[in-house]
Amino acid sequence: MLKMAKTDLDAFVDALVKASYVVLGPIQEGEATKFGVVGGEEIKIPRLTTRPLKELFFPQDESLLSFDRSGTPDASVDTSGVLASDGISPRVALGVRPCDARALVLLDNVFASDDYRDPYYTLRREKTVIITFACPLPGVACFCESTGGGPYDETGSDILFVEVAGSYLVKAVSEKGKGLLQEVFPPCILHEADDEDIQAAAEARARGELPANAGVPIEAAAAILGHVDAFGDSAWEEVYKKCLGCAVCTYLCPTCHCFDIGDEVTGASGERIRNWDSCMFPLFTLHASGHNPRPSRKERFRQRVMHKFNYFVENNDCMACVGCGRCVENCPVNLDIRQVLTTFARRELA
Amino acid sequence: MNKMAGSSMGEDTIGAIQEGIRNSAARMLESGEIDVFIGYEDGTLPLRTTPVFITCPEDAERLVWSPICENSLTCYLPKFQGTVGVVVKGCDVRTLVNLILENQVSRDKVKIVGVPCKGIIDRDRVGKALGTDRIIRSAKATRRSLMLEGDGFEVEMEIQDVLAPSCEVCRYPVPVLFDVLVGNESMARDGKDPEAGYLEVAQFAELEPDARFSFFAQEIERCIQCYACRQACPLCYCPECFVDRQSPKWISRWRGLSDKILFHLGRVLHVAGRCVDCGACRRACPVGIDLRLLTKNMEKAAKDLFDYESGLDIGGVPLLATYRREDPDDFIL
Ligand code: SF4
Ligand code: SF4
Ligand code: SF4
Ligand code: SF4
Ligand code: SF4
Repeated sequence: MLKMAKTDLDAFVDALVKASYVVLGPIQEGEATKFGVVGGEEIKIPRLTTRPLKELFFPQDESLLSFDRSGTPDASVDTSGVLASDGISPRVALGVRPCDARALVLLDNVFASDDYRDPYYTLRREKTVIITFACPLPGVACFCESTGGGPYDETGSDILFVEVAGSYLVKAVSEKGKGLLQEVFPPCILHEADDEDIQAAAEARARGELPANAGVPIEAAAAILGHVDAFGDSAWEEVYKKCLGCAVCTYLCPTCHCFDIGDEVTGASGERIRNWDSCMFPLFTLHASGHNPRPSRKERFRQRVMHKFNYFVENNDCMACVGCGRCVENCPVNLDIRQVLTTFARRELA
Repeated sequence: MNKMAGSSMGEDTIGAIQEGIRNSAARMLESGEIDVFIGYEDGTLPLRTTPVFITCPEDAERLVWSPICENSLTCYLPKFQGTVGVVVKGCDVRTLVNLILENQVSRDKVKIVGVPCKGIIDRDRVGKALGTDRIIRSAKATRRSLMLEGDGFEVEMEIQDVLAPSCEVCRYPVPVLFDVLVGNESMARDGKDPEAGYLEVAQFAELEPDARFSFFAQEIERCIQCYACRQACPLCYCPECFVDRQSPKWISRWRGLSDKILFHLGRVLHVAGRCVDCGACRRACPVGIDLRLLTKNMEKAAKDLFDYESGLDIGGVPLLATYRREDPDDFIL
């Protein structure tokens, strides 16, 4: 285990930049925070960024290919820009929180599975080292513990930083993380940690784990939602009612991954673009015929809950929620997914 | 039909108003006048209440009132079948007046429980006053102050200092239309002069066009097009918003600046002469874009050009439905 003074964080970033890494970390954008390129200015690590880490791998919109039909009857298609492996420099994302890191592992099920590998996503994944900062103070909406993670969870991280009394304890979690630490860091920033530090970290951890809400009955809710009658349960009639049908909960969710693909064409040339979609929108699954199997907010809200806690579980053996609390905190009407899960956990379906 | 509920004006007006709301809801549900009552109940986070739909009189106990009852509940009305009772603040009822004038809600299908409003708090302002990243674990609001507790701190704030920007300049804190007014007018804050509300936009208008555009572009660029602003707005009720149209398609898949601008200018023009500055759009925005700069500007235009204030007159005609020969026409509203 290594150790670094908190005040050396900016020097740490500089060292990465010198070693030709693109360093991504929390940046302030107006009233909100998100991940963006850092370096040069002092880094502030917020409790949790407003916008999720997933954007670095699955951006809100991206061009998959461009095409040009002028001159020839057959379109010439160009995917080089995005797919060339030198199109993305090696990157380090730091100041990541454990829930966001864990969410990437869930997203891998969708974009980087054995059945299907999305080249855009996987390239960015391969090129990025994730440095996670354990949460000293979980927020009021956090419930990562209930989902199997926690403020000190290492899933999805390459390196874990744990804050203790003015320092960070630095732990290489993966080979990738170990490699980075060996390659880049001069011993003037990173020192060996002593037993006392490790003891202090363990204590901080014991204190910190308390408020990260382990009490949401997710397993029980998932069991009910897996019941054959859950889809038609009358409880849906009540739980969705105050939902406004916006995309706050899905766009800010680190695990939501729905997208739409379409062409933007000018004259004979254009681009094929993929962008985020949300099951809370009326256009989601609207058929060309005009029919929509999810015609109202009730069915859309049910889709969100069922996908996260039932369909995804059936497909991938894990639920599509890491308990980051972003949807809880940012929902304009305080429609709290924890409460919805509690409601279902208490249902009795014959 | 205008009954006064609630007790006389004691120190604890919040409690009296809450009692008044509960009693009104229970009575209306009991008598069968309404099928459902929409109000606020305690939320799951500090500084939050949440909309609740009450259908049996016993559940009226769940209803609460305090300066953290922020949502504009009238946004639920256009899609409701049956008769609905609803709690409204001064701004909310003006959106309802518009919904009625625009034939989205029928007056005889809604029972309006008006609250003389002292203003509601703005969570962003509270966060800023406290210092970001200090986590509030519990909050309690009284008529004048807000008590906050967190890890190792206890802070008391004056409600006055953390009021929502719309409330600071609110002209009509007492509902202009109601079936029941809980409490009385003296419990509300004083209405403000219209110019007070337009100060910010007037100052903004003084800037050079380039400076205005770059500020505007920088703010709008941050928009993630989650459409929470639109969904939270009681007056954005179109079954199909222009940005959701596929043919013709208004918004490109590249959600670039020009597309975002198109959405925001389109939306603000569609609420021109209708918006009442309830602030719901701004509150809903997860990235904190100050949409009031746009909406206030249109409100000011309606006032300056047509001497019109929206949502005040249930017997009136919506601004966009009127025409007078002397209307200014050197620019389109
Ligand atoms: S953020 Fe809240 S209101 Fe918006 S879609 Fe999600 S649950 Fe509904
Ligand atoms: S569903 Fe909500 S709490 Fe769960 S991962 Fe998504 S945003 Fe976070
Ligand atoms: S269906 Fe809904 S809940 Fe599931 S990933 Fe898509 S947007 Fe998220
Ligand atoms: S535009 Fe915003 S301030 Fe105006 S009525 Fe709609 S939600 Fe309220
Ligand atoms: S709520 Fe904010 S981010 Fe969402 S569409 Fe409106 S302005 Fe954009």
